[in-house]
Amino acid sequence: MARILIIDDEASIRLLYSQELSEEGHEVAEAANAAEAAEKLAGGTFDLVVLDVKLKNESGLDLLQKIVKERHNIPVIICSAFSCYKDDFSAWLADGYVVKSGDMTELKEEIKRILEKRKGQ
Amino acid sequence: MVTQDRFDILSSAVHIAHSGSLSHHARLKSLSQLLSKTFHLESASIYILDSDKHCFIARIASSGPEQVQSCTIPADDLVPHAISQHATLSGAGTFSLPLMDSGRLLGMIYLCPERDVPSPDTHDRLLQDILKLMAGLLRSAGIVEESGRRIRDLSALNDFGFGINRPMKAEAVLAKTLRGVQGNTGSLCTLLRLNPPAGRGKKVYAKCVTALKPHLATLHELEAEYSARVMESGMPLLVTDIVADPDLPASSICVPLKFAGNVTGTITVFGRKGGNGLYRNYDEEDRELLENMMVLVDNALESTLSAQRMEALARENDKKLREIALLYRISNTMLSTINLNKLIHLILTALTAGPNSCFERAMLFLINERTGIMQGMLGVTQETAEGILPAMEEGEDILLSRWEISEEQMTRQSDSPFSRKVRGARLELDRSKNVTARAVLDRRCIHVPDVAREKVVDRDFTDRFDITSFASAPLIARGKVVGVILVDNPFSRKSITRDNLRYLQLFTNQAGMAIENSMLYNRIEDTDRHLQEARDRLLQGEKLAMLGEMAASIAHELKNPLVSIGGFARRLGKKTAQGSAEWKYADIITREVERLEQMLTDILIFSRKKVVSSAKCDVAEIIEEALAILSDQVQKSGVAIGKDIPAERMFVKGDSKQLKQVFLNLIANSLQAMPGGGRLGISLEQGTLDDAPAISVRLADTGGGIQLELLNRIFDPFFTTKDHGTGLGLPIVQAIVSNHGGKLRINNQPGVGVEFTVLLPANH
Ligand SMILES: Nc1ncnc2c1ncn2[C@@H]1O[C@H](COP(=O)(O)OP(=O)(O)OP(=O)(O)O)[C@@H](O)[C@H]1O
Ligand SMILES: [Mg+2]
Repeated sequence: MARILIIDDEASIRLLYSQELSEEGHEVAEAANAAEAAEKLAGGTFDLVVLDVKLKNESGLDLLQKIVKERHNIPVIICSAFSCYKDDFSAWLADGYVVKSGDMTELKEEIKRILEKRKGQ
Repeated sequence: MVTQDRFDILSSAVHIAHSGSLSHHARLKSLSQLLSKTFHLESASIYILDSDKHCFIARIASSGPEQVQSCTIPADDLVPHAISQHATLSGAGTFSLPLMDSGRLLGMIYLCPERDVPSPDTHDRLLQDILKLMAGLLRSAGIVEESGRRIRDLSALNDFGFGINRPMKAEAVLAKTLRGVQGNTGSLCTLLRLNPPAGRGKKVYAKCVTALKPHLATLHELEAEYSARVMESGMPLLVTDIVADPDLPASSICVPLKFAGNVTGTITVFGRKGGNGLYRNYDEEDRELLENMMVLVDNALESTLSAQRMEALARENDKKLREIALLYRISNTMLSTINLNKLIHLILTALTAGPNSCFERAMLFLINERTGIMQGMLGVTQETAEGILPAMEEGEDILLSRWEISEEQMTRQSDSPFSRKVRGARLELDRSKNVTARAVLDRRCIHVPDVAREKVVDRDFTDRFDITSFASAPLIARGKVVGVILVDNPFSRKSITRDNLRYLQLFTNQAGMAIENSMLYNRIEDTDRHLQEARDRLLQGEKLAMLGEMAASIAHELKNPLVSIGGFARRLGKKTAQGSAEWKYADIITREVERLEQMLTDILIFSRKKVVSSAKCDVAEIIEEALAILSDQVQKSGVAIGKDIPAERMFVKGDSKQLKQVFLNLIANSLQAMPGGGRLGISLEQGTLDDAPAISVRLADTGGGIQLELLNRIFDPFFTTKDHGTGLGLPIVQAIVSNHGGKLRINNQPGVGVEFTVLLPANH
């Protein structure tokens, strides 16, 4: 259905997301940090990025700004442990915001919503 | 002074600084009285500095009947001390401190301690804070006075224009001019001089306040000198250092009077009385006002000349007047609007709608310095602006007229397709890529008549918005460019005239001022909120806050592994046969993880101050819901619930989910204290909290109460006497109740039971 890039520093979360999303029919690529993300983004076309706000030594929000600036067309969904980042002005640059949970329904719905919105445009 | 007292004092200081019902001067006076009382001063006097920093023009003292007294004290002796930001001792323990706002010196304060009382420490936080409030007030007083002045100038022009814009004889025009100038510019003495063609003799008309009549001869002399200079140069003259006689006004303006294109006379004004009753010097703005008035006179005079041209001129004058009236009305509207969002909508609407609208579209970009980007915020077209700003009605009082925009109209504007598109637009703040950036960086209006011929323009942007010609102007508030407005005419493709540009400029100046005013207002509210927060922390205790923060960081660390465990357990559950043993195990893991996730979120409730969602909540309903959730436990424990809930409904304002959590935790504790049965009484009644009506809920159990030595620990996070307790129940209760502005009381009878009372402010 869509090509999705997952950026998260935790391998197990990447594994979880990529398995769940592949089962939904998406084609999934992973990146563990900003450098890998840049490489993947340059190497292929993606329909959507799922981004963790807290990467190991880097800020996900800075990365978000970079992605938005350089390739303004890719929608980005921000994932974070808790909802407090919603108040950060730069998080508004994202198209969606999801609080991480073992229950992935919310993330999947957000992905569907954004992809459909894009298609409609 | 104990900390709590200091908070009380600062809080009343903020209260005073805030009180919109008092004038700025009255607020400053009250603050200086508060300062005197707090620091045992015999007196505290504020000296207000003139905007050009030459002298102190007014004094506000803690004692004395008047709010504000005029004065003229040269600033030279004092300012150097003030600027060095040090307290200056000036004998007998008296000392002065500067009043600074954002690095700008606005005045000084003189403090004179009571006899035999040591002077306060000038680094005292409370003293510094109150001085900061004073400086903020001074600044905001300055802005209000300045804006008031603009409004007065505009309305003066307006009155004046209507007065002379009628067919009449030239002599009548001149008489009206003299009267109008004297009445509208605060002038103390006005002299109008005509130099008709050779041979016909000169004529000087004068109007002068009684107090200055004895000096009329001197004023005539000065006028003759100024007039000669102006006649020769054709340029207006502003003099601010008349020193001939201390009784004379210190400043004067002389502007040429043109008649059919030739300079045929001059008008000269002496001295100015400001809107606040204080004398001050004329400045560039006054010069502009007078010049503008003379343009109107010029037109009126000319129209007396030729009957054919009269109509055209009248139309021209009429247009000018309508523009002035419009601007006046906009100023009025903007200055009375404190809400920043509303202000922005009104600004863009006024540019695109209104009786003589200039532009077909207007967009606002806000500047984000950190990212170097101008972010689109709002776009308004003639279509979405239509009908919001009605034309002025015949006979409507211009002084009272202002526009309003409703929430619905604002939503309609910002939800329009155009506005959404604007919100999606980002421009780089880089002059080499984008001309609009120049409006920001050079702080001036930019006009691009033909986009196709402009080199530095963001093509992507102009193509997307179909812009072929545009103008943009910066919005400046607090000396900083906060945004930029871009206007164009994409539908008619009509070009932007010089008049349009002038209007845009005038308009954005005024808008910047209004934004500044609104920002100042919000800043005072901010201070207030900080204070409130500081006080909350005091009540909650640093210890709890620290533990809370620790808990929060642990919660963050735990969240990620939990998400993996939960996520994979779910996958396992999906992949195994429903009902099998493995499926059950996976299901247990899933549910336990859900519980842990919920708990982590709970921990954050009191570690971070959550904004309480405010809705009207029925308290009895919330209690019933909590009881329903716990009905299993109630049954198991065999506790009898006695409810005393009146039929009349009682409401509080707050977040019903959080309030339910309060009762859940309290009832759960009681039930756990009575494992072998007992009685839990729940009663709801009206009460008071800090003299205001409140709702009180009492929960009394027979669970044996709490041992006295443990009593002061039960609100500590993680304190528990139970095997499976988290010890977060009561801290959460306390955090939620205080977030709702309520109070929690506890009445413990060891050996019998505990009674908790939750008091919440009532909402009718
Ligand atoms: N109604 C009560 N009667 C007797 N003791 C109480 C009562 N309410 C609270 N306590 C005491 O206060 C302690 C702290 O209560 P709190 O609700 O904060 O945590 P908890 O009940 O131990 O844990 P949790 O709420 O997570 O189950 C309890 O362990 C208990 O000793
Ligand atoms: Mg408890």
